[in-house]
Amino acid sequence: MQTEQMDFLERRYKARSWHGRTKHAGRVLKGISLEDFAPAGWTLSRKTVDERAKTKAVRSLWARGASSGELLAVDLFECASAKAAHDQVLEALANMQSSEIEMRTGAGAPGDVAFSLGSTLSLFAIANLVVLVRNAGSSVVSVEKVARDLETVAVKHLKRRPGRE
Amino acid sequence: MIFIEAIKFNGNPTSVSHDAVNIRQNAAHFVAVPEWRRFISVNPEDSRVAYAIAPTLGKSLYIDVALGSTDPGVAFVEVRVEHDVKARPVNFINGESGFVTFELLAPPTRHGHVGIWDVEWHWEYRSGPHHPWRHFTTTRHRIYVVLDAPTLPWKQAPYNSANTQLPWTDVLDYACRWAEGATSKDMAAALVTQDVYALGPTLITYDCPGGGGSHYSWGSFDCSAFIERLKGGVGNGIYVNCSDCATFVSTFANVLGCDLWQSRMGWGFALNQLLAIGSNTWQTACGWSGFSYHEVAWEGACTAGNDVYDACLQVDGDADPTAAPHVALLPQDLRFGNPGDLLYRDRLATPAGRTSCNPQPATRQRRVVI
Repeated sequence: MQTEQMDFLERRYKARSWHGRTKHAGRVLKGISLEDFAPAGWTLSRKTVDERAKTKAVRSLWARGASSGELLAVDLFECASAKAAHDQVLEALANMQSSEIEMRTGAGAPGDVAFSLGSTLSLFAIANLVVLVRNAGSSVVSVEKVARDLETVAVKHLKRRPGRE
Repeated sequence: MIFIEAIKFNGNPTSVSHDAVNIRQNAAHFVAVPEWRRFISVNPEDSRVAYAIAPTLGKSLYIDVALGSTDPGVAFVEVRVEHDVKARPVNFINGESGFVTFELLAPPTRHGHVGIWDVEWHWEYRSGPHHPWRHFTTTRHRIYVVLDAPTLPWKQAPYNSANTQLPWTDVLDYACRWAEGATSKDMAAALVTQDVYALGPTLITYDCPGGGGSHYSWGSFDCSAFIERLKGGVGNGIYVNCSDCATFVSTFANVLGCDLWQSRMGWGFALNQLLAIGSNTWQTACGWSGFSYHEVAWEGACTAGNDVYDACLQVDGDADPTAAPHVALLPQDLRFGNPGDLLYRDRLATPAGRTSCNPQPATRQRRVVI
């Protein structure tokens, strides 16, 4: 990312207040599999792993119902550390044009740091993992429950087999 | 009986000036040479070839043809395709000619514009100048004509099946149709821009639910998914943003020989009312107050003095882009400009936002295709 855009995003999203901070200090998720993070009630439609990406990125598309109207895009980024994950969050924000995306705070916010646009976009980091859930179909659905479920899976994995930074 | 065993259109992969451009079908499949093979190639799409107009201008184009004869008594014939392939003598040794070079008489590059031609060649032979020509076989080929050698992300070397950045015929199928008839690079880029914008709202639409996020161009260009979407499949879904549209336009235009970049402007600026791709409502994008950034297909150094092509949105093209009434203008070959110029920048950003809507040429890139 270009330095000026990074500076802009760090100011816009007050990155100093959250960058590098995690409730799961020293612990990392390693070797994540998409099967573990399958959203309940959704069927895998497409999976892409970008081999050229610096960070392991698993991008997936999930369908629900008979028509292709309801589609969810779930992207998982397995970063080297929580700090790297927060860089990845900024990278994700750098590819979103809206000026209305806001940081989520409070008990309902998933992960260590989270951003959303209403209930139709969720971006959060937990330990070294970045999760992006958004709509990809013409029938727009809330992604909040899916985001919370994915956070629960990540927490479970961190407790069961935590790796070390 | 005389027959054709194989035809090579791209006999010299190091040059595009006397024969075809190096191509592949898509990320997964390579186009092997010879492009036409006996018993394998039946329909035009079984034998795909691309030629570039500029490097071949005023030059002869050649193909290499391997012929065979089942008659051991035949040692010498003349072979041609009337109007298309110049007659020349062919010698057979033990029923095989090996590859023999023929000159094309009227290749589709002579039209001087972008297009796709499905050609049917009726091959003839004769035993000597005083004998009549006899038809012996028909071959069919799909010929793509582009303006110039494709530019990045498309590459011509190395020419092997592992190089996924060789121009894809899956992309040429759309790009040549969208820009059909284009005689200049600006015209080709403009036509591609129009056709990408026209994909909305049926196939793609602006990503309002996801905050205008990239679905096809984050990192690399997921061209395979976009092609799938164009063919009516799911692809990466219906939503796109400016980076996606900039990437569609520049990648599809560059395969035709244009020379566009994907480059950003920013950071954080308020918008005039516009028509985002897939929408028929004049409003700031999705009703948001502004863009964190915007990205377009851009010429040259991607500065205020260079022209942009924006398939993501239509701006107000009248004398006052800050207020209704609106006249829809799809930015094509439109200079970015400085505040007060009434060019692209003024039409996109509000008067207050224009000073934050600056070209960011350090971001210019051509995303690799996957």
